[in-house]
Amino acid sequence: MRTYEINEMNGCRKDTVHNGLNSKSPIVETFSALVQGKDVENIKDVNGKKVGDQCVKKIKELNTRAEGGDTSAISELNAIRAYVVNPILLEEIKLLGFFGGYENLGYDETIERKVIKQSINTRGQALNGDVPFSFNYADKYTVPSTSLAAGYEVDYRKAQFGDMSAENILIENIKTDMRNKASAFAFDTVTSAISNATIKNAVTGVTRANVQSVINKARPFGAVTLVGDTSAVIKLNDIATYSDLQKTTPYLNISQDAMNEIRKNAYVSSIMGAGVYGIDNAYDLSKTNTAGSWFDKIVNDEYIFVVPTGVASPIQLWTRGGLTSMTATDVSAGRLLTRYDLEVAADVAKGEEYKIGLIDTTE
Amino acid sequence: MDSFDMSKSIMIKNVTSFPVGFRKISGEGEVNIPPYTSILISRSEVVSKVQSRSTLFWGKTQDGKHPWIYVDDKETRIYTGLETETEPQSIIDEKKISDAFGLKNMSAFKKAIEELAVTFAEKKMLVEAVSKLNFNDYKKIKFIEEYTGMTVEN
Repeated sequence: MRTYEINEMNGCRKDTVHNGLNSKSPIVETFSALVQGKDVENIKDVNGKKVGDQCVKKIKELNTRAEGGDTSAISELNAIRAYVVNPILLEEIKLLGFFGGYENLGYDETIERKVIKQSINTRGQALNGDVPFSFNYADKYTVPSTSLAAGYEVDYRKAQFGDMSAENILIENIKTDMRNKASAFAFDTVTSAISNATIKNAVTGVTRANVQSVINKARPFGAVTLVGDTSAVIKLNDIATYSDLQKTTPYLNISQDAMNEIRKNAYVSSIMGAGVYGIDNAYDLSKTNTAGSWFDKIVNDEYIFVVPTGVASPIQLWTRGGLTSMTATDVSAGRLLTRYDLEVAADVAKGEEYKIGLIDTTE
Repeated sequence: MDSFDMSKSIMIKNVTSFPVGFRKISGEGEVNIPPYTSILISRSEVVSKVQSRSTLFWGKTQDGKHPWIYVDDKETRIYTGLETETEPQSIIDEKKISDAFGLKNMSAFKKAIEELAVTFAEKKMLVEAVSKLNFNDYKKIKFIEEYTGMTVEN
């Protein structure tokens, strides 16, 4: 089904549309090469003619016009930049799909979830009686999306003279910012969906009994992986021990193998038959913790997700329509700002939250 | 506080819908508490855990308002600073919820609910209490559903 609707993301104007420009245009290639500091000499157009220098001249000219406030030049530059960032960004966001599916939709499509369910189980019944039988049916619902924005102050003056160093920082900024925000959004959605569910596999506190019970419950769905912020999975080291004789002191002994792993990787690679995987998580330097003494991380660093593999994951992520941009002058501050937006959505299949386990590592 | 006996055992209660556990500090081994259940452990263990500012006892905001585990012993709570003689530790319970429902002013009610229920467990308890205590104020229940993101079932 295709639903046509107007893009209504926070008043974002899609100003990246430019006729005749596509992701394979030589000017996009040139821009990308300039940003990465690569040679532009071998960039050719469709006829095999070397056009690198010509494209550089054009980019400089566009920046000159943009500096003067020409919106069409700005939109053309935004379009080129979006073509450079978009594939890298979507590639990064795709990595979030490690614990679920990922799909990139077009603007004219609705984000819709289809969950296959089974009716009652087949039952035996006396002859001539009604025989209840099982069948599969699909439940459909739409998933609301959010728009993530990353922006920066542009400096066309620098690029006007061919200095692309600022561009490089800016593109890196959009990419990292968006990726971080997208992962924070996805993880938050999953955590709250699991915590709110009536039937859930969630515990608080990394103790032997808790971890064992979560793994035991998730295990029948498939081999289990424990995924979480590195600072959360490190806490599993404490229970990667065995008791020798006295059952009351289970934290006493640790094997040489486990110790070597901790020494090298900071955490054990497997525990109670489940793989352990730590994900990197950056600080959000704009936000301090409740005490105000240190910074919060972008993704909540307290949770370990218990993900069974080899099962249709209930988690699904979407992006819709790729990057859109908007440029405007902040008159009061005298700054020229460009904003990039990305529409994302995440969902845990309703009624299947129990498939993903959650360990809250609060102490 | 000469009569404060550290070897005595006291009750602690898991007020969440998750199993909660922690590792002992003063002793060896671990403590595991099933959802909404009280268990008996030594007072010295509770005191060392609370005094080391454990988030499970103090809550995320570190002010004792939204804890995972509630210490069911007044003497220990006062001794460790979780509450004072005059001001008891404020945690969500059915009495507080019915007090909030008693408020006539809608914005005062909203404020009270937002202060009472912050964590998932507290929201869950709030939603369950609404049907358990038989409240029938459409607007207030609608607000609770909106605020918690959960549906009140009968």
